[in-house]
Amino acid sequence: MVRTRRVYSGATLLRVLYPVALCMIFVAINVSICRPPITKTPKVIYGVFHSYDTEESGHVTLLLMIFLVLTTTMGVVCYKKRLYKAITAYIIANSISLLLVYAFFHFHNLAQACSIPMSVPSSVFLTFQFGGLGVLSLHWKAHRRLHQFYLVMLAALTALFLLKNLPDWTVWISIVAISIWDIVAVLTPCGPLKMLVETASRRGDNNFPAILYNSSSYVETPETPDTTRPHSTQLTEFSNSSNANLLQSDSLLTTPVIPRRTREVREVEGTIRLGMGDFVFYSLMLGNAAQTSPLTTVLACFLSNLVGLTITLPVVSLSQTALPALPFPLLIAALFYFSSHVALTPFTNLCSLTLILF
Amino acid sequence: MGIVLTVSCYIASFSPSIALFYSFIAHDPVRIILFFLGSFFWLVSLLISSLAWLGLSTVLPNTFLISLGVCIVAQELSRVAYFMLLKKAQKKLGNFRLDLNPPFSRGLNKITRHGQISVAPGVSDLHNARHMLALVCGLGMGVISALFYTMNAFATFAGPGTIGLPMALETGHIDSNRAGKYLPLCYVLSAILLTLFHVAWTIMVWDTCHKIGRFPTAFVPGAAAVVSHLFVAFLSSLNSRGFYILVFSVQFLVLLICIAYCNVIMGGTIQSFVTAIGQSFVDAFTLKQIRNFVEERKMRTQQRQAVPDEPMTERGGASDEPGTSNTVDA
Repeated sequence: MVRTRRVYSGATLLRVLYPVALCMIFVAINVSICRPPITKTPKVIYGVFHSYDTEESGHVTLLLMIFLVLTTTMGVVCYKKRLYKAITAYIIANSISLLLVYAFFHFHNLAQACSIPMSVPSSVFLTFQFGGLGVLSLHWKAHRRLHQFYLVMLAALTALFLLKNLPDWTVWISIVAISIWDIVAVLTPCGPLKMLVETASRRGDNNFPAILYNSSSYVETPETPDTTRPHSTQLTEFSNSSNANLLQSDSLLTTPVIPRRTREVREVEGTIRLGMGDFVFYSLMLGNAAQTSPLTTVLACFLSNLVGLTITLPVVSLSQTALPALPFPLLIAALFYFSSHVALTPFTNLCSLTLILF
Repeated sequence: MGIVLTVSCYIASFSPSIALFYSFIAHDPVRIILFFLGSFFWLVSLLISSLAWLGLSTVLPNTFLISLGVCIVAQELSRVAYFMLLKKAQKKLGNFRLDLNPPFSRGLNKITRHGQISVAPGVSDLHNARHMLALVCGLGMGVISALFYTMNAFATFAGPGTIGLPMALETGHIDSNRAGKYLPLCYVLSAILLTLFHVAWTIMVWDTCHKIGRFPTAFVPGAAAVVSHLFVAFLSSLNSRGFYILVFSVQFLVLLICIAYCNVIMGGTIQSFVTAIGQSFVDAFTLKQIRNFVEERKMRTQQRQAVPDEPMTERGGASDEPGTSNTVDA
């Protein structure tokens, strides 16, 4: 009898980290290119921690959270009542509005910031190409890389939309609120996400409905090549080894019998799925850091996001349950952001301005 | 001139690290993750030391040198902490070797592939590879410290203005005690120094940590690392008085001594070190690397054409086992 063991190698972890890193970098670059014009609420930087419209920030965050909770709950209710068409319709509408409508406005901003003259017909044409291909590749068939690219674009555009339109400290308040919501929704027994995972596993439904129950589209992204290409990274590594006890296989290949072993154990590469909301909020945080802080703080937040995710994902894979991936990395990143304003950046500047190695 | 200067400064400062990364780290996912963890440990030590600076500066009037010392001690402590973390991870890995052990004795580790062999000869699983791991961690720390040192300065270079011009305009002559137009070069050299120094220091400190239980004289490499770190840092405080050439020459000399010491730690002798340097110059001159690369590609295509059935073709069909799903949600 062949046992199947699931392993999660470093390569799997990296395949999740690369899209997160790329999404964050894309949002940071976009944000630093199109700096918003000086509005009536100037963003106050360096160590002055009061905002001009904190109450407004609170209201906006409350609205955002209500919207999020509502869409999540409605999505779970539709899933339970098997109203798949409703979910699909909502998802398609969401991605169309992001990839077509908001992309148009965002590229308009970009062109303005870089002083590129674009006529209306050509920009409409280009947006239609971009958005049309995006909607096709997300909801129909496409090459795996294209699908992943458009998922990343979806998250990036959502983050850019939020960054442009939220007032001063709303980003931080909403990050705190959504971390709490994430913990509540995934871990507590009455949380909608937990119910969704349980219902899906009870029904044996391996593929969740493609994009789900959240204004920022919790997309389950199959991050590894599970069906089309059998784990070629592992295979290329094994081709050098003469002592490998286990060769990679999928269900259609029979495992060659290894001489010294009496029982075949197949190791199958596990896949890790990361929700799209996580992408959005990591990028939101990094975009906010890019708007308000020097480059070293951005780097510190980027690195702490990645390391937080690196710590969370093996815990997820070891415990074989769904865990919230949002609060821990954001916590470390927030720690670095605030302490960087107060302590890190002044200290580093003191050393590097006088060319003293530390 | 602005953005070109910035890009060229980045290329110049990080080309040693890119070369080291590409040859030793890029092909192995576990090493990439360890690289990022090394950067993170350095960041944490910088955080602690800058908070200490903040605290000290409210109490004492002139705290810069003290906090610099605290910063250096914190960095070395974070190196030791990373070593202890890796040691604990290795214990959970179990004491496995290349050729045997069924996978279930690997304990809680499900992260590395069993029997994963990397391209560098003689260096494979985590257990046997402590100098390679030290290189990875040191490179992580070096890259992040060089980035933190130079990022703000390079971003300012991209803006308007000419470096060193205002002072010369005011006084009418070029003051030799100011970096002036050589300021980018100073930053680049400091970044290169930081990267390579961290690699060397990590190898030395981890050698101490590894052997400290068994030999009482094993503290020498670690002490040498701490002493040279303090020496180099306090020497660089002479930079602001204008003795750039002297400071950089001495620092590069110390770097060379540290690298030779690391070579001795890893098993070579001074003679073999000098021979290796000479050989690498000869290889660079005769373009041996490029010739090897071309020959390797030729051999690989020949091999691939010789194998009739490709194990790496695309296979359709899903792995349809409804009970066991391979996916885990985060």
